Amino acid sequence: MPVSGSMVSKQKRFDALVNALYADIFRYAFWLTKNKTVAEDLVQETYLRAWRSFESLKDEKAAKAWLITILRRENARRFERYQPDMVDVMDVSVADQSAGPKQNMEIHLLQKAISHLDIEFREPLVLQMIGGFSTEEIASILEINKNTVLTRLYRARNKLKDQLSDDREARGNRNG
Amino acid sequence: MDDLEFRRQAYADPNNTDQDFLDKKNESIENEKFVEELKNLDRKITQAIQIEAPEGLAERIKLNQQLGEHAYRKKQMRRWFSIAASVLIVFGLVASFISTTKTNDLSQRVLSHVYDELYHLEENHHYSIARANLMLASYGGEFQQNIGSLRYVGKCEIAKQQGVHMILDGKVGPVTVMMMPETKIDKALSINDHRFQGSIEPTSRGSYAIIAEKGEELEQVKQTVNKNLKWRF
Repeated sequence: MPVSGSMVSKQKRFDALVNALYADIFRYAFWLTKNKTVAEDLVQETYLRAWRSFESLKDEKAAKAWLITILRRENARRFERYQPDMVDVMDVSVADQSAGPKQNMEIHLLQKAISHLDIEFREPLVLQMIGGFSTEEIASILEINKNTVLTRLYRARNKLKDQLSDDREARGNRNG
Repeated sequence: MDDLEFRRQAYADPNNTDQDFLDKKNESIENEKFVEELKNLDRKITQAIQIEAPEGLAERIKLNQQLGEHAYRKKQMRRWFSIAASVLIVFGLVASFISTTKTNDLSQRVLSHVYDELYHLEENHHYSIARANLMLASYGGEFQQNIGSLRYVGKCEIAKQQGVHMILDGKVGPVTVMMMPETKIDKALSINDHRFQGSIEPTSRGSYAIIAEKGEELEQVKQTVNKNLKWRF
């Protein structure tokens, strides 16, 4: 079957979208599901759906929010089908490998603390930190109002900060 | 802006650049220090959140999309063929040839699924059994131990029902095992054509097909599957 010129350019645009955003979309999927295998499946399904409705992406600057919206819908669909027995898989390595052992411990602790945040607090935080989205944008992706986003971000950081200082105190007590 | 609102906004976004917020921040050293601490926390959160994506993921996404596109085009072609076939049936030209039995039909459909997705036979992902179990979980199925090297595992529509398509390493070449929990059969059915051989085996939940090119030894793979496959409901 002959491949038309517009097909080629669609393929190129799609490949560019994969290269530019796959890592962030995977990170988002991982923090949503806390499981690497499920996250990868979700990312695959998201990009497949994105390809099929590529025409509906008007502005490529909005691509990240668009992909995240598709991914959230896919994730919801997955839960409609069945409620999997999720095991928290926290053996992930971070992209920035420059940290020393003490920092590493802190980062690992933070990863655990983030994974234990309720999804309603975890999700806006991840959107802010990975997606670089503003409060307004997060509100529109999550379909909640801006004030709620602010409150959830406030509580998310508050909890993480408490956990880190609890840990420091615990270590301080052990050492002292 | 009062202190409470300032703290709330700082926690929500320490990099807030609203003038009100910045004014409040510059009001006292404590306020500045407070925001600085939160920015410091943010740097750590960023590091913790920026986990590494699996190696080769971008390539796998592109491959998956291209295979998906290929399958879609084939489906379209098949649709055209089936329309053409329907027309022929309407004219009564092939009416006498379509009285195949239902069971024969299933073997045929399973076999044509193998042909439709021949490219899976080439794949070699070294998946773990956990991936197969994750897909079987919704049907209550589980392999209790490894059943061999898994070259490919994916959800598929097989003979019009949802199933799990797996490719294992056989003694000679790839062996296809398709779990079909929704497809009940009374007794084993054999599969045979010029290239492939195998069978469809009944289980307590639906059935599974096992197929490989002629010359492959299937009995042992079949036994391993039978021994390790458990259905919880």
